Amino acid sequence: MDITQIVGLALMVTVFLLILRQEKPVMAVLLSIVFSIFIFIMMMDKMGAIINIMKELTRRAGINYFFMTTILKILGVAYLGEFAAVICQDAGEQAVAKKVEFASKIMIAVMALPIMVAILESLLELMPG
Amino acid sequence: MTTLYEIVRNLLVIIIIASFLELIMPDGRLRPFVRFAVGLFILIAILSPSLDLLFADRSFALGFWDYQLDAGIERSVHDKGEEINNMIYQPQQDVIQSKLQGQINALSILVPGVNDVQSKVQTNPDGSVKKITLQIDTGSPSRIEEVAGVNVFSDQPQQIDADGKDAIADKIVQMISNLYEIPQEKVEIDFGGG
Repeated sequence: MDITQIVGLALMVTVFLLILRQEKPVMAVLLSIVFSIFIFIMMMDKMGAIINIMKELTRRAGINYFFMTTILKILGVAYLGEFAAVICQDAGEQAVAKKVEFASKIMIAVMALPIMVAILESLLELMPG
Repeated sequence: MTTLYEIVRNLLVIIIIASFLELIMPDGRLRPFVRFAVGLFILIAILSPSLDLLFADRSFALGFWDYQLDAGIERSVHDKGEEINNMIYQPQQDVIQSKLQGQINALSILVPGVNDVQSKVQTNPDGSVKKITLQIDTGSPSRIEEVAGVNVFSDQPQQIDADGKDAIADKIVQMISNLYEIPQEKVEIDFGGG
């Protein structure tokens, strides 16, 4: 499915959402969630191709793949968090959106922690005294 | 010179990866967090080979992430572990088996009509009982010999018929099964003595 189909589908969903928001707001949120999931699933293959190329580049650069997987996980968490937060905002639930963002931030910080600790320890070891 | 060339080449690849990561970063409030993580990744990707080059004799915390155990060493450690495990496990199993056999012998011999018992306990690798085999001697002759007469109050053990043996076997099986909480099918009785 190429971009024209995605754009067409998005326009259709937007029109439906405009109508549904007036009549049945709950259905509008559901449609929005379904569309998000649909787009996410459709992009899975393409994302897989990107990850494979990144993997190959990382191998060639002699970088430990552990770091790369961590970065990819962080990207995944960020995307999922954004998706969920935007859906919650669309439904008018700002508080829930904030909580999702907060959880995503903490998750990202936790995943980045091993890299940060490794850098800090190495730098401290380099310092004289 | 070769090392420098490699570092420059790797640096170029790292820059390309970083640019690409920047490109695919999500928009919104989470972007600064992802940028921070990507920044750390770039830092570590540059720092790791540089430190290895400058301080070849020192090991840094960064190196631990790169540490990969050789497959041969891993196998030998695993084999040694298995060996130690067997050294501890087997004697313990033997002790458990012999103690259990002694207990079963002592219990079974208390059953009326049983003259001698030889038990054999087989255990599973997890220590549970796999099978118990009892060789029971009821003291009855294995073949019928011609006798001059029958002494009613004789001290000699009396011959036990098939029903009697079944009764003894049932009693012993039930006793062992109840005492050790072992399923009855795991207890096997053989009247080898006749």
